[in-house]
Amino acid sequence: MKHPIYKGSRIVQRSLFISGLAIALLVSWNERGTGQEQTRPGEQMVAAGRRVFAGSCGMAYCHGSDGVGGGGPRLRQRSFSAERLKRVISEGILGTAMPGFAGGLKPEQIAEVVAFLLSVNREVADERSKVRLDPHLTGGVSEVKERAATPVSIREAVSASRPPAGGGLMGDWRAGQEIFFDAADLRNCRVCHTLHGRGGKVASDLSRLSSEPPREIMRRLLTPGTTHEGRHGAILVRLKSGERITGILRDESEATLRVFDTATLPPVSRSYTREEIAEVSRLDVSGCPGGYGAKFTLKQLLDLIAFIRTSEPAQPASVGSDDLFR
Amino acid sequence: MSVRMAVFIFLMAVAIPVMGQEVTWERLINSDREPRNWLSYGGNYSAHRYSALEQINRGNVGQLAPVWIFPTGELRGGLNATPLVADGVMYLMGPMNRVFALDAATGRIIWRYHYKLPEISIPYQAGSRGLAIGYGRVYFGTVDNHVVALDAKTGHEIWQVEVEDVRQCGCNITSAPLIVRDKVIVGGTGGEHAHRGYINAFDAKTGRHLWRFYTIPAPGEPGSETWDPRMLKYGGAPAWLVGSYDPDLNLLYWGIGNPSSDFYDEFRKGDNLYSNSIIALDPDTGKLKWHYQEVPHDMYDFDSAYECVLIDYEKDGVKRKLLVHANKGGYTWVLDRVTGKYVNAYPHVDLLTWLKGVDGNGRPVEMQPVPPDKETYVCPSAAGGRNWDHSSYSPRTRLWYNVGWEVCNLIRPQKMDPVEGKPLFGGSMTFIPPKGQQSYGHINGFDPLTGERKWRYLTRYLNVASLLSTGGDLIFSGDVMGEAFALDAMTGKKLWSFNTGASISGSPITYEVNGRQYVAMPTGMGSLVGNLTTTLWPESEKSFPERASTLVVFALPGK
Repeated sequence: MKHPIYKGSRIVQRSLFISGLAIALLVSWNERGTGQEQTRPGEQMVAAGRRVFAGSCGMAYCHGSDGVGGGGPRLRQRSFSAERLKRVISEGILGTAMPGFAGGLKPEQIAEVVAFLLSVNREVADERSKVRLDPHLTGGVSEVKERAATPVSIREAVSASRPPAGGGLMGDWRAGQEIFFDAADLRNCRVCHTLHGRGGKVASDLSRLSSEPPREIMRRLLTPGTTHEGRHGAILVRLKSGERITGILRDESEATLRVFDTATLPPVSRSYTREEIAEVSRLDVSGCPGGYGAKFTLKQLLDLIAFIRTSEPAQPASVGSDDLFR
Repeated sequence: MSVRMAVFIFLMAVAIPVMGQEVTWERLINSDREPRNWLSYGGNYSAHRYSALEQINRGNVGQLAPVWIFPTGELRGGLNATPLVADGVMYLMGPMNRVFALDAATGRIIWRYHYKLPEISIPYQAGSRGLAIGYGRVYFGTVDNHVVALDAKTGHEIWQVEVEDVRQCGCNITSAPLIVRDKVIVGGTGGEHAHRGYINAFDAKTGRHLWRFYTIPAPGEPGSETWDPRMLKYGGAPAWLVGSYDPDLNLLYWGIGNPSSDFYDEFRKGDNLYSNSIIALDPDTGKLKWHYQEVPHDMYDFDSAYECVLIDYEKDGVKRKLLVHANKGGYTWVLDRVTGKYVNAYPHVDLLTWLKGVDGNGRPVEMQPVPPDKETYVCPSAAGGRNWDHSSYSPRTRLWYNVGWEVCNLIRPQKMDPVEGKPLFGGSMTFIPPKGQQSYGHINGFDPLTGERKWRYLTRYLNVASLLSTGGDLIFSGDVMGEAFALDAMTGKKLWSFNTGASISGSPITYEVNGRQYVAMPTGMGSLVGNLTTTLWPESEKSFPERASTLVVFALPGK
């Protein structure tokens, strides 16, 4: 490539190397993607990335129009690697305002944003080739650990529920997800339980139930009181003041004890010093409030079971009323 | 017993009850009676940010000098705080929910509490604007969407409760709670995410949830007809700052933010209640008493989230209970705070393109259309005719002091589908100076009812810090280049300044310990619009301060 003005510039060499690397990477991602993207010219990809960026990242609160900088770091005139950009866009940066976009943006959109960002880096390097590149690559983000795993994107997946056999009811995992995570319901599962990486940290992570048979999950939904699992069993804390708190033990040290007070939801983590406590006793029941047989219809219970059993959206679980008799 | 010992015991006997006196509800709502303290976020429950202290005044402010400084040790998030002071103890929250109790005369740490944040990405900002004290406790919201109560004496945690999983809602708490009698009332962010805004009340003693008010009605509720049903769950309208309270009327006032998505409106035709509105709630039940919408169907990100300044206005023998509210769009609305009825509206900036004026009910007329997929020039910008940095009202001068920013932007709405808890901007904006001129900012003294401007102080850049007015007829604030300053509250003339070395984007307060008046100035850029200065004035970059998170406290020498 001939570029007489910037001939010999290390910056240009560097940016050309980065964009070359980027195109290689992008092609390799796309090969794993739809396959159609392979032949798409880089400029189209950059243009598409510019549009996605404008709508998702270009707010002045964040990276500003075309990455000139807003509340968040400037992205132009930097030298990010494509790999780093892809990782940060997908996973976000812990401890900062940078969210993970995996799940919000499709993988090809993320690839487009990466292509766009590499292009503005190259443009700016070209425009200001005599200016040294900003040596501060961190933008205040280097001090924090980055999230290891990409969150599971359930929404993006396609449901492929089996048609009902023999006219029985079928659970729909997406309807189950709506019930589980309905933000307007202050008494539903997610208030206490995590499932597939989201939800409360008070009670057990229900992801571990995903391989249980539907009948067993149904049993637990209808009679949670019969299953008290280790630290999630209910305790009674009687205070010297006379107050009594029923809930789930959170943690304890020599000096203090923390209990999730489940009298109201969301549960309240309450801390007591040993001096305040008269007695702690274990109750032989689960901390789960229960009552789900009355709260939900059979169809909704099947939806919930289908959702609990769907750990990979690409492989939605099929749960029908017939399964409850197996 | 020696005389010295006897004096010591006597002093201790006198001092201990004062130092140990609990901050009661009576003290909180009558805080104007004890100007030595700064007991609540807004200085009082009317959001006046005024103190009657007058030791530092127009005559001697030139001698003001730093007496102690306190770094929070955490730079991510700067220092947006409003410190609180009760009986010689300062409560300060730094970024990432680091809470400190300090000796307010020396800055010495009494206790510290570093909230344990999980490994998540934090939406909006890592900094927090403040906390609340009362009943021997310190209350605050966290950037991972919990509410926490600490023992004010020891810093030990008493309770904490998760409002909603931050990973699900894309929302968190960056502002102070408000204590109303036995309740701790908290808003949250979420206006740039697919989220349904709300205000929650918790039992101050136990942390148990008492009520939730959704800022977007449920399907079928009054106001739901002002939305496309698809957006009732995702329309934003967050209560991201803190409300005010009138104890005589028992009404809680809260400003509500913009609808999501900010600029793209295919999914939210209609007025979008209660976005961009002032709402009055019954704090006992969380029920809506009245609402007033300032910007129906907002297309510019012109929140109504800022402070509700409650002013008892008297002129020609007529007393009026007013609520004065600076909207982000550069217009100020004045309401009757008993009924919520419109009283007046006036611009607090010079350049406005988005409306021609208001009608007899205060509703904007000829609002500027912002069509999708093309750029529209709108003034002021989506950063606001000012940002959240708070105004101040002095009952002495009877002037309301407010900041103004003359910056415009090109808004380009763009289609974006809502996904719960994910960012939902729906377009972008490019900040630019007003056509044919440089951007500029100002601080003004207004008659709060008529909007008549008594004075203006021009700022070189945009003032991103709150204002504080005092009984010494001074206005304290600080600028983005690090200069703390004082203005004459009567004329706007600058009387004092000091280079703190770090951008100022927090809220100064004043208080008194052992007869000495102090002014505390948070420093360290923590604003989401912090980079506006170098965007609009590129030459400022070379001298722009480094990051910091430090409280700088001033007093008169030798007092």
